[in-house]
Amino acid sequence: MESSSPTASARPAAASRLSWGLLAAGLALMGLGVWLDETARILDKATQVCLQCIGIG
Amino acid sequence: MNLRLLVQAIATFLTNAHLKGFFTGKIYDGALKRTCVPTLNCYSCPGALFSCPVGAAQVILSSGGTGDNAGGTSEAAAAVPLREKAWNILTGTPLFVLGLMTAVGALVGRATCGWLCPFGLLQDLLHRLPVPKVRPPRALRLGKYLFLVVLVILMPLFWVDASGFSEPAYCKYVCPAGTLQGGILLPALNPDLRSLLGKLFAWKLTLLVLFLLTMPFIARPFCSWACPIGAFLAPFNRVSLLRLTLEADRCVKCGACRRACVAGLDPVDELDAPDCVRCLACVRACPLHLIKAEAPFLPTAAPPTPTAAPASADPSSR
Repeated sequence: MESSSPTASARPAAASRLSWGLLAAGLALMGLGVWLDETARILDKATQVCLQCIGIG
Repeated sequence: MNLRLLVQAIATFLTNAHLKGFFTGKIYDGALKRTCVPTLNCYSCPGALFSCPVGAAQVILSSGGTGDNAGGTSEAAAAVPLREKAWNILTGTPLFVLGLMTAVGALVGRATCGWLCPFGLLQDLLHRLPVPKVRPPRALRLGKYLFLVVLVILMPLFWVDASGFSEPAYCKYVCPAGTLQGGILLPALNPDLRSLLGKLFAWKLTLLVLFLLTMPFIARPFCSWACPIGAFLAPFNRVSLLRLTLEADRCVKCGACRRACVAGLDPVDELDAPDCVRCLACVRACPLHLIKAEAPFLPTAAPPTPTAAPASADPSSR
């Protein structure tokens, strides 16, 4: 069979650009979160027993 | 040995490798908990080394950007200068978690659900039990989006009590992974916590048992219906760098991929569907090798040889 299906065709360049763009945006957001000390606030919560998770709080 | 099962087991171990906690009943409080794993893994599990993105996102949202809850009264909120309000919104948004999950989604879609999630591993193992398999109504799959929007985002933001505090509603009322990892283990190891268990724990335990009972019959019911991480990552399956391709014109519709799918999908019609957990079982199951996983970071497969397929293309031969 000579013809190839649409699903087998190469991903459009626009979709690839979107993927890379989302990856870059994600990394940038992560950096911004670290800069704003979000990870320290996560640490504060995560190092105490989460009573809600257990079903007490 | 099933490679994915091995990876799942290793990931489960590595994310819960604080073994001392399983004996002492004390959770890990080191620096690794600054970051999250891209899977549902309760940070109150005695063994958890990292934070859970769902729990972390709710904490940041409910803190309103100050580290404490900034809900307060409407009068107090009105008195806050605009610049400070903008700052509070910025720091009250879980940017790190959002960024992490966006980056993971852009790279591999829901592959972390299929390859790394401890609760996914549990579901896969229970689904191997030799019982009749059921395909529930597809509408139930919308449930996970509802949980994400209402319990993970809206309730921590707006369901504020009189003193201005809100709670991680998803963790509190739903998360069966939290019940299993923290809710059962910690009280079992701590008599003080055990004495505090009440109706809420009974509700959460009932929910966990219902999910556990469903897992042998239905493929990944929790992932499909109730996981906020799955809901967040689902749309990325369409745009991630890792993608699946199918040579549809050569497909003989033998059903091998549908039978192998751990998410209960039919890959021929639902390739890269939001509920695909990228387990790649369909890639391995296709006898004609028509389904492929492609990504810039994966080695490129050799082009298929035209003579390789026809001999085994007859579905009746399988």
